[in-house]
Amino acid sequence: MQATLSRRAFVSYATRRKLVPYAYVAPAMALFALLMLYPMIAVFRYSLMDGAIIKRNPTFVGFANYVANFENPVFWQAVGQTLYFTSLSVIFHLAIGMGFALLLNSPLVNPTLRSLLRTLYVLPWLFTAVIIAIIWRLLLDPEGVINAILMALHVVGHKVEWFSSTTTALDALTFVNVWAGYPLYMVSLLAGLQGVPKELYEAAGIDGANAIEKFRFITVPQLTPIIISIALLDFIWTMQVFPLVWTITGGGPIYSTEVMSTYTYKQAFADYDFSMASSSAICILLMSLSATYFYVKHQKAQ
Amino acid sequence: MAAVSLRGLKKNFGAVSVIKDVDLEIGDGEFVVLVGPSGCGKSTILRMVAGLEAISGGEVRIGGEVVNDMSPKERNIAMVFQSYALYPHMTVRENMGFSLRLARAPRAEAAAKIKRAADILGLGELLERKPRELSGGQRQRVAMGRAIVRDPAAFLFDEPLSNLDAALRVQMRVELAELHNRLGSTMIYVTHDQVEAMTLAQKIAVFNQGRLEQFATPADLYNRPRNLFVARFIGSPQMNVLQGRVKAARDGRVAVSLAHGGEIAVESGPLPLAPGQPVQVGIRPEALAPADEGALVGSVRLVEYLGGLTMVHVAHGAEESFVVQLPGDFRAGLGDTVRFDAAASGVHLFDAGGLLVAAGTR
Ligand SMILES: Nc1ncnc2c1ncn2[C@@H]1O[C@H](COP(=O)(O)OP(=O)(O)OP(=O)(O)O)[C@@H](O)[C@H]1O
Ligand SMILES: [Mg+2]
Repeated sequence: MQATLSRRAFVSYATRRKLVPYAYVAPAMALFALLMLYPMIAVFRYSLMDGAIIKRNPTFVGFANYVANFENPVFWQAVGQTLYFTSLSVIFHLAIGMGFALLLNSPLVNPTLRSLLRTLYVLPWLFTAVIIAIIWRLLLDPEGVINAILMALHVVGHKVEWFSSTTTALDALTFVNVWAGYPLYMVSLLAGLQGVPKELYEAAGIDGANAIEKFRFITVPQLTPIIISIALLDFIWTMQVFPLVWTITGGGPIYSTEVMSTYTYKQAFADYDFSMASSSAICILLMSLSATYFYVKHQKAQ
Repeated sequence: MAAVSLRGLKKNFGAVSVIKDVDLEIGDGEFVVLVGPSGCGKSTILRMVAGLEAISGGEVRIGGEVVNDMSPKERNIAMVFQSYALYPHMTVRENMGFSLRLARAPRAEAAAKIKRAADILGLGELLERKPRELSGGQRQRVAMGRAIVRDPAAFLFDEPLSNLDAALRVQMRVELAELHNRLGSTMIYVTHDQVEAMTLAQKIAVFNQGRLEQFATPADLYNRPRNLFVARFIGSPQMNVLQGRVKAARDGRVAVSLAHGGEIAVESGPLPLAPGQPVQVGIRPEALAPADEGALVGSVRLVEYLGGLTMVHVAHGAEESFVVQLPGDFRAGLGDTVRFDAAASGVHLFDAGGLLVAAGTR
């Protein structure tokens, strides 16, 4: 008994205790290094070369690819359109998601209607990007249903070529993305709304708050953590969105819906210029990182 | 400040009738406590007064005005919730000032009101804290502060002390009583702690299953409970109830022979009693005293020493038992035969239906 108690371990208990957490995360870190870190470093290396992958002996060119991108007006057009597309998507996702969540949470709507609406409202979430693309290309076809309705209502005077006109394509595309993405907000905010204690609204009512003041002073502050989290995640995701844009417009007509992801894709798989594509990809990464920075900062503040 | 009156008040949840025809007149500046067992509808009544629950029938008046169709805001009442319902994202100052902010009160005036409330409640140091950084007692005070800054027509409290520990509860009880003295406002206070009710109330309303059983001063409830339910509910430890029959009733006195031996005499009450009529005899534990020739005989089942007091549980016959409250130095062994006499003032007679038929008077 005495002997076992006094036997000293080779490594002290305190040291082992400190090492254990590292042992737990080691497998994940190894996978991360293999699957994420290595490709990232490889892409960065390609972006500093001329003719990576396709040339036998690619030469090191420093930041020449970046400079070439920055001198290309289409690059800047894509950056601007990406930000426009992303910002509007996030704003409308939030507004529509919040509106529907409030509606579904309202005791004024009868329960049967509520569960029906709930199913209806999450539908967009069930479709993959390709199906969404097909649906909306049909609906927004010049000969499609939407034009027919709008013309019947005299909102438009002629058949609008939603996706084929440079003036409307980006907005039409953004609209489709808004339609496809709001259910995540709706579901998260609805869960959040159901978690707000009822007494807070009752106390506010007694303190003299009307419905709008209750929304502003109780609902919004209570939902702020959820709003910030999903808005930042959505911002990062939307900035990189590819399948929807590619399958609906492919970036056209004449670059009018070119976003960073389609721009990069074309460099890689249409021009086979993997070095240029790598440098564009790094630019997307940096843009996403800036949003991620806020996300992490917000998570820490929680 | 205002009087609050309930007339024929009813509440149904679907087909279930929860409040049945309640009439209650609460005077201006009165401190009234609503008590009753869990689920009897106390909170529901309070919420109907506050405007948080729709009224199914009858009317609520505040300051003489029918408020049935008014929003909580228009009724100008303040309410302290059992869970406190503090706004978690606001500081103590913002919590207390929220109603003033909504009412667009001038900044200086609001600050002065908040300061005054904070001084009364000793919250001066805590104004910049968030509710989660406060202890239970401090949160309770903030909830109270939020009510005070309002100058409301009436204060409503729904079991505000039930989340506090025993010592803090006693302290807050004293502070509440002082607050009422100081503000002189109408206060309606819900609790199921009868000590709180007895000590705080000017008048107590006792409810049972959605009905008002009795509305009277604490002393009246204790001395002249209208029925067995009230008699049992008010007073701690509970009133003892023994079965008996009227032996004789004459010259303003009723003699009752108990089912398990012994005889007790009470001054006769408002209703005539016929010899042979079965009655239930209510005896307060504190009205019993040991006596060599005592009429009430039994054997000791359990003795609880509480320091200043001793509770003796006595078996009376095969089925009945009663509790006696005696001074702390009283000693008895288990199984001892003991005899007690009841002070006439602590004995009440109830008929078979539980209605008071005779009460000992002081
Ligand atoms: N929203 C509701 N729907 C249906 N029944 C309800 C509702 N609210 C309360 N009740 C019922 O009404 C009755 C009175 O409830 P209330 O909350 O007023 O009781 P209480 O006297 O405050 O009890 P406690 O002392 O436990 O707080 C209970 O039987 C309860 O089940
Ligand atoms: Mg209650």
